Amino acid sequence: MTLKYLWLVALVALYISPIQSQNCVYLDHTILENMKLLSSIRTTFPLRCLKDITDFEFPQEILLYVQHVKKDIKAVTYHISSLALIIFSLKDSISLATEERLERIRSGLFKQVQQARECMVDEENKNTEEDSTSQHPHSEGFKAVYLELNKYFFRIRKFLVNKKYSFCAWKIVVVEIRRCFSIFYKLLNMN
Amino acid sequence: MPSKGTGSAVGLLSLYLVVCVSLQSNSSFAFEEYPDEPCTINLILRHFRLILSWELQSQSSPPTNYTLWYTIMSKAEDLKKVENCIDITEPLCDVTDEWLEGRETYVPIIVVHRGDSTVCRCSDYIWPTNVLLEPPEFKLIGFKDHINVMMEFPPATYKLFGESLWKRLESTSFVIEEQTEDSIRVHKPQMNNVTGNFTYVLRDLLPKTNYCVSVYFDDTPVIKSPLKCTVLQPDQESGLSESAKVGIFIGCLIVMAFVSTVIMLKQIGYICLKDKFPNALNFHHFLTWIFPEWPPSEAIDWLEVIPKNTKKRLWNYDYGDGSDSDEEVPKTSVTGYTMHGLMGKPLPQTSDDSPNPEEPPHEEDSGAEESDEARAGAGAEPQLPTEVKAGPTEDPSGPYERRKSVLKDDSFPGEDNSSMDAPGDRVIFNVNLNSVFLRALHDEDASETISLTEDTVLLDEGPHRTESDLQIAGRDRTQLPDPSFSSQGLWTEDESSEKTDTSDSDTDAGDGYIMR
Repeated sequence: MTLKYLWLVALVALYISPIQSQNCVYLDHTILENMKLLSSIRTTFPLRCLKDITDFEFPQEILLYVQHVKKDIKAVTYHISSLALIIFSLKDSISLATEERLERIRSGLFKQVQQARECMVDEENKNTEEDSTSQHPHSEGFKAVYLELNKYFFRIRKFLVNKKYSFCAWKIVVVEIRRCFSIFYKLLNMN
Repeated sequence: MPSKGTGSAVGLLSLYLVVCVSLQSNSSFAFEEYPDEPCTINLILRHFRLILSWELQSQSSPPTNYTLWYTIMSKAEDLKKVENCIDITEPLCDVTDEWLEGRETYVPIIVVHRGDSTVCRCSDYIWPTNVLLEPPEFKLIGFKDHINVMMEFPPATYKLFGESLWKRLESTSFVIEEQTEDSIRVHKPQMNNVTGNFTYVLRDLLPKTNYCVSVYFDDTPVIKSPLKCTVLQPDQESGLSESAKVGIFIGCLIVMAFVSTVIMLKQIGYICLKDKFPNALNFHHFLTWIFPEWPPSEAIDWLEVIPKNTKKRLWNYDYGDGSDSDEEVPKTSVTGYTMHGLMGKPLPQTSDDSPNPEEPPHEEDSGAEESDEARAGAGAEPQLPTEVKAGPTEDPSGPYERRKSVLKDDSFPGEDNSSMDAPGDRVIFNVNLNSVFLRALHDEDASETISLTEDTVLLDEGPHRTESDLQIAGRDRTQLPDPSFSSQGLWTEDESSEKTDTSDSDTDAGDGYIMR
């Protein structure tokens, strides 16, 4: 009997690694679903909102860094997903859409954060096995990118505060976050 | 210290800039006074062109024209007007060359006009990733057991949002759906940056079965192409169709016939003629083909045949050696009169008076002697001039050459060619009787003594030839003074001449010549 159960344990352990790698595949799909969900909020864009359009200055250096240091893209994705979830968890986001639709957006972003974290952990474990001498998983460049992303989402939050979470402000922020997701979705599929 | 005028100028300039900036900013929001019209705006990839289409939800009164403006959400820029979409009547606009940033979010604004007034506007978000992908055009070619699905994709230089098509659609698969009455099969070909014409083969199909095919991009939402159907015929062979085979066969026949015709024409010399031909074969003059010219007139030698019917009373004088005299020696006739033959002399030719360098000098001399004799004879006795047209020759020197050739011809055996060397002895004439014309001026009596001379007449001046009995030998063209005489019978030669000169006897040398 013991041998029989050992055989099953070995069989499960054999497929653990592929199962873990599926997290990244699910992450791609979840990001795509959330992009569509954010696009579903589209309504007729009022021209009065045109004057509120702001350039949030997406850090272009992130793209250059991720393209050269591909192992950090999972961590960057996880960080972006977390910051986006914080934005949509603000208390005054109710004016953007109906409560049901907003709840779907939050649920989708939470799922994305979970999968991004699992994908990041899998990637770090894989990198640790390949290079056991690596004591510093993230370089100075990654820290700079991390800081730039914080500044970027800070500008978004500050915009919402300055516009007092207005309808037009939320319209513009949703479009900007979706744009950010679109960029990283493309980067993930390039690797 | 700035002066007062300078300060006022700076103030005016500042006011001007403020006005300009305010006008510029107001131009971006000049449509705010018009109500928002609910509309649906879609970005469609149709025939691989980015087409922005819109539809107003209110159908109260149809708009007359539209103008498209747009801006980018992440950039604080003014509205831009699309140049090729100003006052358009169709609710669509090609923005392929206008929207080049795939990461941006576009805000199109459609201003609706009814007549001269702007009535409403509609706007929406447009994400490039939300473009609706319409399938490309395709056609089917059915064979016995397979179908060729032929499509055309844009060239490699094509850009969609600044990127190549398949890089932009890398997350979207292309699907070919094959349907029959009871089954559906989906094919996902590996496109691998396909450009230009693309053919996908649906294999292992059943003959005599109707197959319908649809193509689409596997995207959300899916836009499928209309079904195109074909029935596989058992006699549809793979490769060329029957009509194509017949066409190729007919084409080959036409080519073979053409080539054989060209070869045949070339062999018979109708085409590909050389440029340098003898003059006789020069057909460059087109009119001469249709109206052929008469052959060049041949030179005609005019001979004056002088019959001498000198009657002299035979007094039995002994003149001694008659051979010393150049005068004609009368022949003794039965009646006791001598009958002088005709003296012939060639008339000077007007067309060719220049002496032929090839002409033997003795011939000229003999001719001169003959002429002298003829003139002497003519002065002594009345003459009956008879003009003889000698045979046709192209060259004035022809008669002489001709005579030479005849004389030297071995086809006349026994002929004494030495006569040319000794013109005083005897001269041989070869006359083409078919080309000699004889005109007897008068005196029927003289006709008995008129004989035909050839183109070059050398009168026999020998003593044995005093009866230069000119004969009428031309059977056809000779104007005979007396038709009862035959050409043979007209010859009146004495026996001595026959004995001494075999060439005196008329010999028909053929082809109209009589050789004496």
